[in-house]
Amino acid sequence: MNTSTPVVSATVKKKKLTAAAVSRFQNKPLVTLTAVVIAIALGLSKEPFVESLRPIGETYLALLQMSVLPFLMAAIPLAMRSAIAQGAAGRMLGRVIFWLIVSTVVVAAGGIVLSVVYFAIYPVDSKTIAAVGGLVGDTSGQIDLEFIMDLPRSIVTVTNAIHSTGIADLVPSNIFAALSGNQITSVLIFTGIFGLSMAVSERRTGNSFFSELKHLHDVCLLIFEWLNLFVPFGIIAMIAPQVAQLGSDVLYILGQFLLLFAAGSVVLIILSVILIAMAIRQPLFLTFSAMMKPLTLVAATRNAIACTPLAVDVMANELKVSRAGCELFIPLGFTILRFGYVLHFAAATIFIGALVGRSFTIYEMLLIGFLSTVASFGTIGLNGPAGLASLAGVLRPFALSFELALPILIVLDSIIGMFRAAVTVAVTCAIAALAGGRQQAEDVLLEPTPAAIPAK
Amino acid sequence: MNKRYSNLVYFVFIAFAALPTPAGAQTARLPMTAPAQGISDIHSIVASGVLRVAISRFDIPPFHQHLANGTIVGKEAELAYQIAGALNVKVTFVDEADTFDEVIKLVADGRADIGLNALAQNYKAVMTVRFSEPYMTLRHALLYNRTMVAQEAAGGRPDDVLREFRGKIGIVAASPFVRFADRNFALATVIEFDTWKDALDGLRKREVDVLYNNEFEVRRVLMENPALHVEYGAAIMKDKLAFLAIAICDSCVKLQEFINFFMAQNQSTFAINTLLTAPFVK
Repeated sequence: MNTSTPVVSATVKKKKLTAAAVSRFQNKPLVTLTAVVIAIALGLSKEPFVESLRPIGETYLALLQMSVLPFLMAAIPLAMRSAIAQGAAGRMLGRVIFWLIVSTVVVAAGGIVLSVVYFAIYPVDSKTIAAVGGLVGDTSGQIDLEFIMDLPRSIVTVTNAIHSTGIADLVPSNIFAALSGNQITSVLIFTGIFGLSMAVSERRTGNSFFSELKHLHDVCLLIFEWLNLFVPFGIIAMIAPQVAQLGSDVLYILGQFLLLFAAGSVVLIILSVILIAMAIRQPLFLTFSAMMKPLTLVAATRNAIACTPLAVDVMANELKVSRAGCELFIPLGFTILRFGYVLHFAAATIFIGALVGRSFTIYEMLLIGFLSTVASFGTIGLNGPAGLASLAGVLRPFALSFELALPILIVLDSIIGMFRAAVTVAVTCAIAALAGGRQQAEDVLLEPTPAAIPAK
Repeated sequence: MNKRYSNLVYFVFIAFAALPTPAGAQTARLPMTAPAQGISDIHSIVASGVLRVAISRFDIPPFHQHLANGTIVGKEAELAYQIAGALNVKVTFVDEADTFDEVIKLVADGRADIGLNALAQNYKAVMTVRFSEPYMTLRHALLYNRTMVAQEAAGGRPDDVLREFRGKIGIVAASPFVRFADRNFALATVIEFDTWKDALDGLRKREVDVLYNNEFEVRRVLMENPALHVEYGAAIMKDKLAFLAIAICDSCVKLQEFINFFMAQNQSTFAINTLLTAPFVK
């Protein structure tokens, strides 16, 4: 008896050493957190080799992004079709709108109230103001803006002639151009319409390429599963150079705002995870463990869209959140609803106000919340510092200088971008869980049934 | 008939125009191009053994600066010594001017051979003195009160406000920027200050909302007082250039040619970033 037991356990151990087992181990919260700690330590060490990790991180990010569009092309039509088949689309829409409004208000109010209270208790001192001035000067070369004094009439005419057509810009006139141009919003519009017409067409003709789309969906998830094997290494390779890029002087000067934003983000992320756990009636620790995966990956990549497949997979397959809620709302939410930017813009406006000694009335604070939300839509399709351009629309109505804010925020963006993207992911997932609820027995990607096919 | 006649007149006119210029006409232009007895130029300077260089009484570091021992140092002082060295003469600084315009006047009046004082070429000065090729080209710049300009912009872009500025703009009196302000900011109220330092005080006291100078002076203020950069912004006018050049006496044709040749040979141009980081004696 004693001799047979080790043989059996050895066989079991050998069987467990599969990709799935490695993936399970690497996705444990402790492993992920360890990777984050190592990345931060490496970044702070400022060792020259840390910068050489950047190409590895960029390659990993490119691999993650590689399958996002094919995944969306498959997942959204399937989710749309599934929601229509179950008649869940209409029911969910109302709940999504409700939670969307609540979430936006909470995020904007959180950013404003936290910042106002913080800077009321710890006002920006003259030493910090001088240091910030030096930092802005060093970053911008003491030049805030350059302009042409005598604008030729032709240029004025051309400038006036160029105007955005608003929503019409988002409708893809050529889906292949939208795909090759990585225009996610346009792709989402197409896939939504495509999913709707797919469901209608199935009912009318009985023809379906459900299985092909399902296969494409599964293939994309499998690629992400493989890539997940390298998540801890990806986290280290992506976070360490970002931390190293931030000079210690910058941390000293702008640490106040950085800590404030980080604290606000962490509060919102924890609140979101608690709401997800409540919505799906799962233990908090289990929900936290599962959500760690998309949250750490998005913090490392600073790109919510690149984490769409992982977030959908975790929410639908691990946490068993309604599929329509996940597969339909999460890609849309990550692309269009940039909650991280709402928080960032609101907090940054209060910070710049504190820097120049400006206080805000209650009405102005409400306006900051509203403008931050509107400005967050201006970041659609943009990532990193490029999205900061929309902040001008929040600052300028309060006579705050965007040219002053931009260098400060660009310097911090390598770190703030991590929290910003994580907030977007956490809040969007929470809305998906609150609106969609727990997965029901019938909540699957329904195969076309002969009964559903009308007789010709 | 008429057409043939007019063609003939046209031919005769062209033929006369193509003939060599009469000798009398050349002689009339001689004073402008050739040295004459008693007129200052390179020969009289070499003969005297001294190159008289006009500078301002006030310092413009790092262009020029008076030391306690009476020595004058700085990039422009170095350039003056180099030109004098090439001419094999000594340098005498004539530092009696209290304004930029007075430096030009010293040269125009013949009390100095050249003027080296971060002088920007302008139409009025060109009428009284010659100028060398520019040794530095600086863009015009504005140092503006961020809040005031943002309020004026009412949610718009600050450059739109600055382009048609209607507030109070400060400049250094008797400097080329008096003319530049008249031309470029016709809608603004222009307030003149004796010195750049006074102008900065005026900006701090809200006597003006914007200061107008070249990009070197504006950037140097922000480098030396980083705290100011939170309250005040710097805007560069890309299409408005200040050409800093050596003012040369109006009759000194050969000296002008000599200085231009010297500068081309020695690449005697100043780079703004070098000047901004150049140490100067306090």
